[in-house]
Amino acid sequence: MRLLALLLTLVLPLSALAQEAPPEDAPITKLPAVERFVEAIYPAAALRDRIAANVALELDISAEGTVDDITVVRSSTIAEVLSATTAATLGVVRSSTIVDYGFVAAATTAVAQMTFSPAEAGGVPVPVRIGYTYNFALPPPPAPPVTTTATTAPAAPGIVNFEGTLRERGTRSFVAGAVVTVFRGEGQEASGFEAVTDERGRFVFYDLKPGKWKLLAEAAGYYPLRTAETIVGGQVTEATYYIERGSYNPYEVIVEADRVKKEVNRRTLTSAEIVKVPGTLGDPVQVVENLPGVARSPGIGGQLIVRGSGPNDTGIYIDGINVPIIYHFGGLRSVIPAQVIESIDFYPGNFSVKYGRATGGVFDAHAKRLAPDQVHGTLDVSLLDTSLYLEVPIGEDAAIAVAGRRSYIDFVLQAVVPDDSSVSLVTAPRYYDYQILGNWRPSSEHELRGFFLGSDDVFELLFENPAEANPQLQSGNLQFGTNFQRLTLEHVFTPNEKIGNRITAAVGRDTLNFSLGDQFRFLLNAYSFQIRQALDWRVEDWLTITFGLDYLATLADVEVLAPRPPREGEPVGNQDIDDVLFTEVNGLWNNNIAPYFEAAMELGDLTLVPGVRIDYFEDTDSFSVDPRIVGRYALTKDWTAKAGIGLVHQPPLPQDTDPVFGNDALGLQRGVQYSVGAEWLPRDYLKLDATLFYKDLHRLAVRVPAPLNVDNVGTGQVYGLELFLEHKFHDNFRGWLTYTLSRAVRQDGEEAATRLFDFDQTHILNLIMSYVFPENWEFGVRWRLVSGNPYTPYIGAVLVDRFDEYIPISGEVNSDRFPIFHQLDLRIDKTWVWDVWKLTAYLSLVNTYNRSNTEGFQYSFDYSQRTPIQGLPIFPILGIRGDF
Amino acid sequence: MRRLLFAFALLVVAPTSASAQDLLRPAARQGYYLGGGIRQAAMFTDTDAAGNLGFMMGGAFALRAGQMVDDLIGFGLAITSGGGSNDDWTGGYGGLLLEVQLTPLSTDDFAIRGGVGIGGLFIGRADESMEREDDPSGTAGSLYTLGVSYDLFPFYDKGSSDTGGFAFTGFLEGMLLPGGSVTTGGVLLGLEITYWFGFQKNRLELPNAEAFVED
Repeated sequence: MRLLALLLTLVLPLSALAQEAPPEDAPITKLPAVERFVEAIYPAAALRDRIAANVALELDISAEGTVDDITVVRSSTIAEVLSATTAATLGVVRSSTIVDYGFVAAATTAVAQMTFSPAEAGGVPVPVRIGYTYNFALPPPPAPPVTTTATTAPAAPGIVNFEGTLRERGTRSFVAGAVVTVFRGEGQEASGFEAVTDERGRFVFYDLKPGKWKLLAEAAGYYPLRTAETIVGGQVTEATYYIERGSYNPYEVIVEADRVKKEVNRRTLTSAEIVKVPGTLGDPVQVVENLPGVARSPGIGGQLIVRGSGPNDTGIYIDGINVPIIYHFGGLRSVIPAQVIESIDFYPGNFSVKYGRATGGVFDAHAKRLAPDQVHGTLDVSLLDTSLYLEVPIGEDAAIAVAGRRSYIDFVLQAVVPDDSSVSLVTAPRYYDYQILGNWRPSSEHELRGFFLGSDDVFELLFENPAEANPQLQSGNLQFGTNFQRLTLEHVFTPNEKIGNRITAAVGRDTLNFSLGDQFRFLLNAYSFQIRQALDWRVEDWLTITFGLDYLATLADVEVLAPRPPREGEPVGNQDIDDVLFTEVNGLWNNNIAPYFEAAMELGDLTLVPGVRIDYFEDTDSFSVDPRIVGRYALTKDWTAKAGIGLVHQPPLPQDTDPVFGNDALGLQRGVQYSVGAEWLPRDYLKLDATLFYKDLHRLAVRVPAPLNVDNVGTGQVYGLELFLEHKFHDNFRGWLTYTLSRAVRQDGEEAATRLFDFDQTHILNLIMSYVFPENWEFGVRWRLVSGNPYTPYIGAVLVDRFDEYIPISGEVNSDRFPIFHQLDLRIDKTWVWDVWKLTAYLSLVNTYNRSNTEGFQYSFDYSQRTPIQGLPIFPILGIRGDF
Repeated sequence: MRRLLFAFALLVVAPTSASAQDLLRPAARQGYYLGGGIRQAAMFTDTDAAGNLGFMMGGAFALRAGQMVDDLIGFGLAITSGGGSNDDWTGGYGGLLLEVQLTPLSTDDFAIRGGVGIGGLFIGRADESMEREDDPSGTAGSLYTLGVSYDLFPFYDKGSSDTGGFAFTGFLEGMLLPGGSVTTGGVLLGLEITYWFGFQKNRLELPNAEAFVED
């Protein structure tokens, strides 16, 4: 008797595994492999009945390579896997009832004794959970009438005359562990042989007799491949077969790194989770607006408003590097497409000392970790834009990818704006962005990454009669453009399991050009230099400390000719545009440096993460010391309590420290963030998170009379509750329900009345659901219910003789609200699969029931009447995407 | 520091692996469908400006394409356009719809189908000389349809594993296009010709003679 047990090597794409560097951010760079294999005892009854089986397991493998825990996922006999009709024709496998002959016990007993080489993240061994199938393959029958079993490694191999490769349709990935059976004849004439594909999808058969053979290839999760092959005597038949997955939804490969949480709340979304959220057009930043604590961005403004704070209070990073803007104009697209993103992390508050200079939340997108096994690419064409992505392996240790995207709103507008329109599109609105990524891992200790990102937005309008818009306007030539690039290089060094160091250097250039004839202009040309360094030292099993440095410098030339911009609480468009100021600054250096220290302590069920960050801000010539601490306590297996408190500081906006527009003696804004909450995980895929938060803001910059113009006399408080019910992909369903109840109030000085922040939204409810149907259809729904934003009503108007125009009289600041916002969005995707590529068509119906949501008011000439300005009506976005 | 990495291998432990291999019995209404046909439309329109415009009788056509994802549910797209008139008014509509159809009964040939999408409506006076400045001109917005259909396959061999091929599809459905100041709806009765094709045979429970065919 001979027992064949085959290890099925997992073929997880490394890019999907990449999560973070040592100790918390390193990608999984090495999967475990069997070091000591233990052969299972083949159940005697199964041998007698000629039953083979696969036992699918999940193994928790420790950092030492031992098997900590085993979960049985599925046990299936070969007789079950094969259709009854097919099985009946085979000599090697006979039809039988589905009985566990003891395969599970035999497999788990053997696997528990195995040892593995541990998985590694940046060279550091880490515990992982992997899928593993123990395959009980039948030995040849004792009497050899007409049947023998050939395998990939026969005891006495004959001559290979049929070999092949099994790949996955659409992706060309190798399919390992598939059972390939060839058979022919019936009854006493029946003969059949089986082989199991290796990690490269290869299988071989020996000494097949010439003639036609039926071939059946089966693997869990795939439709069976049934075909026929003709073997010619004296020749080796070679073939490549493509087997189709039961579903090509991207969520079946789900990798979650349950890192030591250094924050009370960190929401991580992978690229696959981002792309198909309805109503977001697959944009990674728009998806964040559906997370708890994030307010709805009014209109199509494209802003991240976190826990009541203003958009400028949220730190926006790509791999920890600051970027000047995150959205292209209009807010429909962010500057970084989902194809080049591995995941995003979003922190609504109480974030790690790694981040600073922000009193709101933090958004950090992580560029894709490349690990392609072959050339892959994507072309996505939608009604908005077209994007292209291509990744290429370079040898065993390196890879490169390029991507680009361009909108064609300009072509559409050029076509639809009539020639006799009062507005001419000199340069119609358009955006494009481009990215280059590179990975090189010369050794297990070193990893080098590079990322280049560029973005460009521009449009130019010519109003035929600008006075119709505003009698004070002298010119109708409006130009606006933004452009920036960032080049980031990163080196990760992990000499041993206790030490990991990551250093990131970035250079960038930002330009902004805005002008309205000669009347107004805003010209910015800036260079930025940023260095981030983080040294992680695992002092003890329970203690990891991090020393880090965050240095950011900018060199800017600025020229501004404009009225004072509206501040928080001031109505937009209510400025006297004849009151124009001018400032010009050249070669302005602004250095910011922040060393930080953090310790992650795992004390049994308690995890404590204290840290401190010391910032120096050259612009304000001031220091800040931000101590922060987060604690998490595992109450039970399913329940975790958590809390955090931390101090944060934020420098004033550049215009606020300009001596003409603001106050060059302005100081830092300060906030204290508090959070307390609990998490409940009743299932692996189900999570309920409740968090109470409070944010105490001080020294807010507010407008004061000249000569100070702006001063740190404002205070604010934001408090509320966040609920997050998340159902990760399971049983073809995924979704989440978020609800935020909050209040954001402020005082613009000791004597000032308490008022609402501009972005206070009392109730924010988001429901997102997606279901994956057979035949590669996916249907998704998003529904939002949000309180209207506060606004300052006009309570009257006075006639100004000079302009023969009414000027409105404002009521109390933010004393009224727009009506409740609600909107339903649908999305449907269909994927067709061919041997070497896939095509996906999608339709997104935004605002499906065409709700007229009020985003503002348009007033009559004397402000006695108003009509609502509606948000986007229903609009469909069709697109197709090809992947190879 | 301890981390736990959950890796669900698509090959061997995917939780959907069992259902992925569920094969379907051959049926006529399987795979993709392409359809098109005409219909008799009875439309009603209610406006703020001119009140109820009365029933407008007319015709409509639709083009439909989609796929049954299993033996219960199918998805597709539909493009529809039509119009009608009465003594005083004439109107026309068009739209793009995301369509869902369900086959809840044991007979495969009966289906409930509904759609949601974007539509537009034009309204005008039947006699242009009667036009007034405050006449309603139409609306645009969400378009909804709901109805039932029956496919009759005159050429289908029920013993085969092939998809049904040509079918005559009779249907009855309602449509609604609500707008701010104009809302229109209608009842449509019609006949379409539908072509069913293209279910991949490796997803069907087939006898050996059909299942194992050399490429």
